[in-house]
Amino acid sequence: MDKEKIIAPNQIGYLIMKDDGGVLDSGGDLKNDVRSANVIMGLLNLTESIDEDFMPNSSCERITIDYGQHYYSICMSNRRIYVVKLSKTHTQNGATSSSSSSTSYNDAAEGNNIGSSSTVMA
Amino acid sequence: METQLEKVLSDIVTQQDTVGALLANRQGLCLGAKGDINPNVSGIGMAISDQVAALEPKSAVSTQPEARHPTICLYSGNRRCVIQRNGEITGIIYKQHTAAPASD
Repeated sequence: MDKEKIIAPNQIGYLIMKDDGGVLDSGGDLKNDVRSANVIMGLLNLTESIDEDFMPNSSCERITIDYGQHYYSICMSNRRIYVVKLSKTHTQNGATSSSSSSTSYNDAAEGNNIGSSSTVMA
Repeated sequence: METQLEKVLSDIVTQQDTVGALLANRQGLCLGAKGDINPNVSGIGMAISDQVAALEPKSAVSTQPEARHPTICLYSGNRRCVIQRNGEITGIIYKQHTAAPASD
């Protein structure tokens, strides 16, 4: 039970919340971090009121917050909120490598650093 | 006085996939907008930027500009809303990825 979930190889912390903000699971840097959970819930509530024409209510499915050396990825799925804090410098969990791609959505990149954008290609 | 701002906004909206951009002041008032973006978004954009500033208050004193001013990106399908604060000014950019039209 105490074993931490590995959501992404370069993760440094994670939070799994209910849609009411209750923390279901946490680990790494975000272990028992209720303060961050509250900030993120506040952020999610704010994103609902952004431009109705550009992003209709609740259509925002992913949020990233990029701090340069690390970033947060926030996803909503199945009435759960998944927050993962990821490192850009591949040192966690033995995932050290010289790969230039920094996101977990890199199956098409083949080490070729296309750009800083992490747009998911459907 | 606004010519510099207008120039910056014009530069931003000519970037690939960008549909609109605006700049807001510390009060969330729109300083200027270009392209297809509602100037009223400046308030909510500023509120989002303020909220994110509370996530890692320690980063606010970092020597790295990227850590002091995190980039927030909201994804919705092929659309993205990018928010970044730099000192007194917050920039909000709307982006829409336009892939080659597929026959559907």
